[in-house]
Amino acid sequence: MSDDELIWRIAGGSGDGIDSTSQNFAKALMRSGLDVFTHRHYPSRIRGGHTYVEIRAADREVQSRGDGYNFLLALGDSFARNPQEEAFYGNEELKPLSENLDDLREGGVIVYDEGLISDEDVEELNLEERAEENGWHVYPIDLRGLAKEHGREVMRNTAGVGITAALLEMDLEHIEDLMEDAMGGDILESNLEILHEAYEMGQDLEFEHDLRIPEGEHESEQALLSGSNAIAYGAIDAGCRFIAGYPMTPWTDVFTILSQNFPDMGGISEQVEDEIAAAALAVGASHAGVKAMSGSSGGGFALMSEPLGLAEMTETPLVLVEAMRAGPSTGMPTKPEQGDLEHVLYTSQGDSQRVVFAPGNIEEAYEQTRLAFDIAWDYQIPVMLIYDQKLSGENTNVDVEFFDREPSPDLGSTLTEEELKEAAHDNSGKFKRFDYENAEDGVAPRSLPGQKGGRYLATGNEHSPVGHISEDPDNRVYQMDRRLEKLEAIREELNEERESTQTYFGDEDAEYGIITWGSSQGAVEEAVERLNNSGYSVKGLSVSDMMPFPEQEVTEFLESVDEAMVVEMNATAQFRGLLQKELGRFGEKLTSLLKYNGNPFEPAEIVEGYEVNIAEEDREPTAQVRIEPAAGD
Amino acid sequence: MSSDVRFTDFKSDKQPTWCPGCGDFGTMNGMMKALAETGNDPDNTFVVAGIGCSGKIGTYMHSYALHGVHGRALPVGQGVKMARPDIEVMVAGGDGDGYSIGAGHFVHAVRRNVDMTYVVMDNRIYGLTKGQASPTSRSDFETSTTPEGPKQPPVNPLALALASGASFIAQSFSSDALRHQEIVQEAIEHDGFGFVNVFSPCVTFNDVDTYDYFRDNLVDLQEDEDHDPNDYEAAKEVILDSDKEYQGVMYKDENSVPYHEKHGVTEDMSEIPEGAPDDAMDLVREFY
Repeated sequence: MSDDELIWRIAGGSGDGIDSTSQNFAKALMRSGLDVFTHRHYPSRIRGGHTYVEIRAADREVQSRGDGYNFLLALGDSFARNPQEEAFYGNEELKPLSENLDDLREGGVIVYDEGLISDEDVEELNLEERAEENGWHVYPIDLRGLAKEHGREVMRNTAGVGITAALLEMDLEHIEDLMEDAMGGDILESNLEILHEAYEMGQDLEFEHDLRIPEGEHESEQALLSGSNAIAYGAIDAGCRFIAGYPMTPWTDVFTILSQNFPDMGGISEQVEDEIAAAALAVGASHAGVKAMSGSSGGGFALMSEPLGLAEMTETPLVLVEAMRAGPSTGMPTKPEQGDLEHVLYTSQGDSQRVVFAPGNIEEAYEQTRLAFDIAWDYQIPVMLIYDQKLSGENTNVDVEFFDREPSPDLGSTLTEEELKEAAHDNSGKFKRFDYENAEDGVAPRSLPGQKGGRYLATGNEHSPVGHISEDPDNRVYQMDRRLEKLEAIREELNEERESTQTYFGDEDAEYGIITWGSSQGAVEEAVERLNNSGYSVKGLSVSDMMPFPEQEVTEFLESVDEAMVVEMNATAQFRGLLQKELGRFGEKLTSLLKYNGNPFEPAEIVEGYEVNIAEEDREPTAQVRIEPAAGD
Repeated sequence: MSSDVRFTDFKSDKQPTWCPGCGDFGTMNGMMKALAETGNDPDNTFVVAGIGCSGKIGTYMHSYALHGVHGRALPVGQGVKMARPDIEVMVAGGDGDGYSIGAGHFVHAVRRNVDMTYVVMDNRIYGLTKGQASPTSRSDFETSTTPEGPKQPPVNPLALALASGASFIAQSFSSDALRHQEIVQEAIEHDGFGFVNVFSPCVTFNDVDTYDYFRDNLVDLQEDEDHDPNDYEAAKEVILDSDKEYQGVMYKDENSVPYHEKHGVTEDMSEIPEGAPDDAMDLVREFY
């Protein structure tokens, strides 16, 4: 494993400021010229409970968490349960240290807070012995005492950062700048004092480790963003100005970002009573002529199945986002999984008439959000973005210039009052809102309330061209076919007029393939590179268009390889099932690598999965993954 | 708005399929008259309906309209009005729609105080599904799914509204055409969420809460000169009176501030206010 990269893990208790400390440290690494990628692991608990954030930093593009990590900063859990509760919760004070040892690479560095983690506890861990076996370098420091002496106990995170910087021989400049941006007055002063004190203390230690901060340089202005930021900003640039929602992890992030920005932009954000109302309000706002969205995570999205179906039948432009977490039911609220694919594709009664995109990284999240709004308003169809807790919360550095694009607030296939006069009306003068005779690509342009002569009824019942309830068999078939024709037209537009939303890696002529979808993209990309470096002939495809499915692209890819492994984070191979349903063949060529233990793939797990699965090495995978053989095997 | 709008301009050319004598005819006529009388234009009006007999109103009226999902008419209507305060929004639903499957939405729509009108066609029965108990049915009212009656007290929708912080609470009777129209008119003119529970008898399945029952028992608050709808305590007394049923405006908050005023919502949401970031790039820079 190469250590030309730093993977710094800060572990502590929920509520200890692990998130904000890591955010600033990641920014400092980014400012020093490195590419960064963060991964969050946290419990569904407000105070206490083991949590960590991992920051991977290197002088090259990083699109995934790494394999394990090489620097642990273990703070104690200041909200740890009292000893009486230990039987149930375990020793929470020790967890930031004990829970993180398995993933630490050989030769790794450990700094732990001996002010909160006691010697006896450490002894029980056999730390000394294990350190020797693995070549770890352990630095016990009284971070709590240091923080207390110069400020307050909670500032021990700062002390930990100071020690980290010293041990990595990292300049303090960016860390100081970021602190000055974030705080002021006495708090800033104490924190700076602690930072410097810890830095000096760290410099005085006898260094036994080789790990140092990598050197790097950015040629352009960078920003540290999460997938949730990207989706929210994509919506803003698409001209969305209305969001209604109900909080649910991990979707809450997008809802929060837009709630904080919309009021300044003349937009509306409303927290409502439940997810049914959330999507129904967005349907109403869309009817009124405002670009509107809603969203949730699996359980909340289940409630949206009614308004989603209504939007399909009434051909209401709408964007819904679904941030997956491990299910079924409440599942594991703060853990990622790609288990809602079938839920999102097929929920709600009747034949699905929706578009579904699954962005693979932060840039795609922004671009596909804009694409979602474009398509929703051009084709009058609900468009869903499906992502997960992983993409939602991970931060990477992005070129600021990437966002230098024109906003696109136009309302697509909506008529102006002038155009409405020319549009088809029936003999009694009613606007034929759902006209199937003149619909191009299945799209019948719509009017907006307030326009003269554009009145119509939008109903969830099957309806005639003017919108009246109709059970006429001919009308039914015309209307159904017209609505479904839109999906074919959208597929054609995606194939021909837009750059592919699918992502390819590796050599075109490779013999074997790895296919994935959504946020597992980064880990697959890195795995493909490593496999090729080890002499295998592999290429990768990450699919974003779930519906309408990119039949042609995926067929070409699968025809060009001998075998392909489908990588996804769920237990029933939902995406592989979709592939086979859509393509109707390749059953013998496809195997699966599945992971559903609540943690996203590490690239090494995919490398190993490939070796065992495709290269048929005679061994079981060591990681918590499952291999599903091809049909007939 | 044009001054020459007649109530028939709100009527579509579809003939209602309601049973002859259904209360919904009178309820709808009063709504159309009230809309015309308050100077609204059908091109500027958005009617949202739920599911059931009441839900068909979007078909029989000819304005911009949405006939949605059972119980979800209020959220759709609020979305329309929040995004476009210049549009007149009227939501119609039944007692099942508003007080059973949509009861949660009702409470929160009342709280949100969006400037719209909510007319509930309350017949104390599920009609279109052929006669099952509704949340306003009497506890001993025998139906196919409640052979010995629901055995639970009916919801008092007016009290539910009051407890949720309503700014306008009224009740009318579809057969008292003039009063019904006046009351709906007052709800339209109210700055906020105008809620009217309308007794709209089902002539086929409800032989208890009939035209005769309401005609004989309903007390008109207009005839009670002491009732001041701006007086919260007086409203409470009338609403919680378990001995009598009333028609009229029970409560009206004179200081009601509707949603769009509270939130400073402008009518053109495509215009970005001065000084605000107008695209993502400005926002992204904050994350350096």
